Amino acid sequence: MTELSVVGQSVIRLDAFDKVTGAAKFASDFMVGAHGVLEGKVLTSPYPHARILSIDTSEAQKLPDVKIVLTAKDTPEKNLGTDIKDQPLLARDVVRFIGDPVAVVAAETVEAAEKAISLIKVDYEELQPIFDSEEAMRTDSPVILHHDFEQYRRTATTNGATIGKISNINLPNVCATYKVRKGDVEKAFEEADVVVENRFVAPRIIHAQMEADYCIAQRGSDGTLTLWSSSKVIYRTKYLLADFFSLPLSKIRIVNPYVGGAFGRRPVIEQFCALLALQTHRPVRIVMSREDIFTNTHTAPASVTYIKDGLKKDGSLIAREVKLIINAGAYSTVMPRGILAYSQGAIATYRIPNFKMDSFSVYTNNLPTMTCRGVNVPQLQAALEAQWDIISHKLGVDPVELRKRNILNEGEENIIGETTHSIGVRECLDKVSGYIEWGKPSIQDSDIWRKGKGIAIAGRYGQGGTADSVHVQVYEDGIIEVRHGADEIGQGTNTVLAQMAAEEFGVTMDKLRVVRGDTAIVPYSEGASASRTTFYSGNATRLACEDAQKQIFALAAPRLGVSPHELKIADSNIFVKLVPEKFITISELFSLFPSKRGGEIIGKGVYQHRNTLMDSETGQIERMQAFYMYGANAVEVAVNIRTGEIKILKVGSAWDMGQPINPKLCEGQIEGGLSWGIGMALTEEMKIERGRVLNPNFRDYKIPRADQMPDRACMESFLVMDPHNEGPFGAKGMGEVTLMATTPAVNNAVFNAIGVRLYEFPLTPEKILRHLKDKGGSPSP
Amino acid sequence: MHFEYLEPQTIEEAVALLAKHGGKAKVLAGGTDLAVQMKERKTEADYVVSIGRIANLSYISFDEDNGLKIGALTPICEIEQSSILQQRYSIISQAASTLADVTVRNIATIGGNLCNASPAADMVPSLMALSARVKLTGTNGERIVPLEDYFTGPGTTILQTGELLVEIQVPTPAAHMAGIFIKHRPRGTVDLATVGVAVVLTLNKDICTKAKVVLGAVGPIPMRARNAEKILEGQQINEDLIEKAALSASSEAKPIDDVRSSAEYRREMVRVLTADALKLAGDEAGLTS
Repeated sequence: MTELSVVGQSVIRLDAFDKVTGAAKFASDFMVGAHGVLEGKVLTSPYPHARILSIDTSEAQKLPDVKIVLTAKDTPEKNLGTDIKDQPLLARDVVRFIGDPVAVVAAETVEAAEKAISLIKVDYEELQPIFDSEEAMRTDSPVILHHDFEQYRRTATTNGATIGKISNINLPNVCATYKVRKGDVEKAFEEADVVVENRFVAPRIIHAQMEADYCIAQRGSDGTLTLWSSSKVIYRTKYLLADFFSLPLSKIRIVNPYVGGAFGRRPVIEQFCALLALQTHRPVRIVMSREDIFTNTHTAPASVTYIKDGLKKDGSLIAREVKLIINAGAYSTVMPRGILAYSQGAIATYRIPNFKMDSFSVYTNNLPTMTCRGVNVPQLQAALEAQWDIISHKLGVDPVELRKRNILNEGEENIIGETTHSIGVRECLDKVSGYIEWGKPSIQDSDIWRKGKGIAIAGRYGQGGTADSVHVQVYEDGIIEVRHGADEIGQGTNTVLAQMAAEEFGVTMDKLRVVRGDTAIVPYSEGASASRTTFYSGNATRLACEDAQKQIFALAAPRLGVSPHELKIADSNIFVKLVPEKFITISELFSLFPSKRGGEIIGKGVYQHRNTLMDSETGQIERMQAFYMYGANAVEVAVNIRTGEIKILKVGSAWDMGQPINPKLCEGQIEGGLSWGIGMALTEEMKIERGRVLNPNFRDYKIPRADQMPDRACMESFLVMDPHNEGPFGAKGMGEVTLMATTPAVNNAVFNAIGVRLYEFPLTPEKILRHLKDKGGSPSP
Repeated sequence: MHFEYLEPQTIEEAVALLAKHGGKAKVLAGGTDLAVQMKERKTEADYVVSIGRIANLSYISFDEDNGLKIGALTPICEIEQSSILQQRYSIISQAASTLADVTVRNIATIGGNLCNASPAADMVPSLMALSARVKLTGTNGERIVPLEDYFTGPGTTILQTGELLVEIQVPTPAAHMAGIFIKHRPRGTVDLATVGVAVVLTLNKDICTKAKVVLGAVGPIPMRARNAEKILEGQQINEDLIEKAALSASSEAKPIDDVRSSAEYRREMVRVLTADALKLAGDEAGLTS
């Protein structure tokens, strides 16, 4: 690889100054004080499952400051849903979860809107609800949520998944399935020396993004709908609204310059804002409280994972059978491509000759669910990586050795038939096991706080089959402007793309500028999801730079009396490669334009990743994902055997992201992922009773705090580089994978410390103590 | 939500306003409980009576004869950092240091913590274990009541309409007396208590002459474990006795299952934490002899 000067450097984030000083603008900073903004409020269902007998809005409509009250009859007849259109914007005949929207109001003041909501009379007839996914999954389920399932509109097939064909006749609450078949698991289980079967349970968790959902919609005099929105994926929001309201794409503009964290969240209030703005011809704002977010929107699903493994005595895994059951809640949202994604954590890390997986996404009368950082791969791998530890204990093979024996090698086919490439996980495993001094038992210095070590690895895909565009404009003062449609959600996209452009143009970062977050001025991007931005927008940036340089060289070549391919650009000078003293500056070049200032240099780059068609019966596919990221965590914990409390003492993290574009940002992602993983391992859990969220706030839904992280001196991040041959400068992604090994590593360390294995997350003090008591209170494994 | 915001300048004005508006008025001190409850629509008020402008309600004073007096508006952070409290009433500053986080401690007041009357209030067990009293001022004058008799249920106290809690009084500690507060938090850091245990022991040599064991978050109001105290008093402090007292405290507790913890776990934590607190307090009281 050629020498890099800006890529690979920990330059200061482009948005650092504005974010530290508060100058950075978020959605709620727009239209502040604008005249005539109406306040929108949503009336939601108090029942988990009920038939709507009647809705009377007359009292609400009589209020002086109320502009409009809308119910299902006032909305487009279409339903919402990425693939299966099963969710009305406002409930038509049936409500299916506590929080299901029933009516919306726009009023001059928040108070009037709230008053109007309280005056809407809805008569419900309660229906029997169902909450448990395994019960709802049965053929003879006593409750069916969607009687019209077969009639719902579907979008076209994507990713080769059988979206158009799905029928749930035998499993009436299953909204999506995914299966993988390889080899003959039954035969292999018979040949196995050891068979290990377990069931793991993961709770519902929530994104807990810092910026609460916020949106203002305005209909312009020409009918253009503009939304200032806190939701990421601006282009997908644009397409969603265009489809739902039957508007041309040219009539929708989405603006969101910065997003205060997303973690997989998608638009939830944008549709209501748009509806109210289109009907009232006034700007309409909806602001969600944290409690609204917890109770009326969408969360990550709870899941149950069954794993059956067959191994030879030497530790080689010859068969694995996985059954994954996702409690999807009341509507399908992103299913069935969701269930495919949710299952991918079992696919691309280990060599397993015989493999069978069946995944089910099940409707229940709980809140709907959505992709959430890692998209169930963390939950699935928390189960799988605990399973490795259980096996290692059973076989008496060291957990690190056992994993290494079964990890895929470069060039090998993975379970679904893709060719393994850029898999730096062995080096990651070596780095963290070295850091934690694997093999040396923890030094016990207390009878109460028992210490132990645990290790786990993780692998996660970067989404395939999508595309991003980037524009790069070169100005006469040598400024390079990158215009991208990917989101700056705090992860550093702006900085990373600018670093790539700086590298391409041979300039320092002060020559870079980034424009983003407005569909009126930036080109298409699929958005920040599935760890894809660095890879896709990065590649598109490189292509756009190449295109801009091509234009520059075409202009400069005749002036310098050479052909364009003999030219190179660096430091705002265009020079002849072999005769560097022959050059022309960027500003001189601009003076060559016929009208001196009339010309523009705008490079365009489109990067598309193509995947192949999947065999829906076996899940086999030549190329599904764009790339895979890998890594490992090794942790040392202390467990209080009298209270069950767990302290994280030491953590080593190593992640292979191909090529770090900005090492500091990578370390930030690693530490952020670690904190998320600690939350999943120890405290995060939505407590839900008969469809009602009991802890809809950060008082009782406990995300980790800074002081739960290990001491700075006991935390080390290693950046491992196994470059990807299609990645920009070899880079992959790393937004999600960095959280995925923490939870199982902590679980394994707890087992090492006190001999107690938990199959249900999070590992609360209460659960630890109960299991310790069941075991007879002895703290040694 | 609409309410009228009132800012009395004196205690007299404040109690007059509270008497006038009765149940429609709420007192605002630091606001770390009231503002949250109003935002969550768990409390409604037509009048919010802010007492923050009343002079001379934030103080910590101590002398050997009269003991400790803390003004109702004293912020928790000052209680946490007061050197006199750290020296003579370390259990109180210790409890203060566990209340929420530093930003909350900067504005939350001790009077507010007592008037909010949460069963899990962090300041209560240690104050109760030190036999604190509270001074209540109303339109008809003032009364001084043992803190133990002050709470009537979750969120309720003996405060009558038009009455304001103005001061907390704590007797001068006896010689060879030591107190320990332990708070159990599921997150291990900033978090609400699932159990709070305060013990105060007075020793004569190694004989326990007086014991107070107070439990928080395991009953409708913070409660004394009287049987545990009886087990300790008059006896030589040793591990067996401590285990016995801790077991008793655990059976005296009246915990409930809720979103924060099961009753069973709370009961077990009362046993563990009471034993830990008694051991530490016993050691400390012995050391001060």
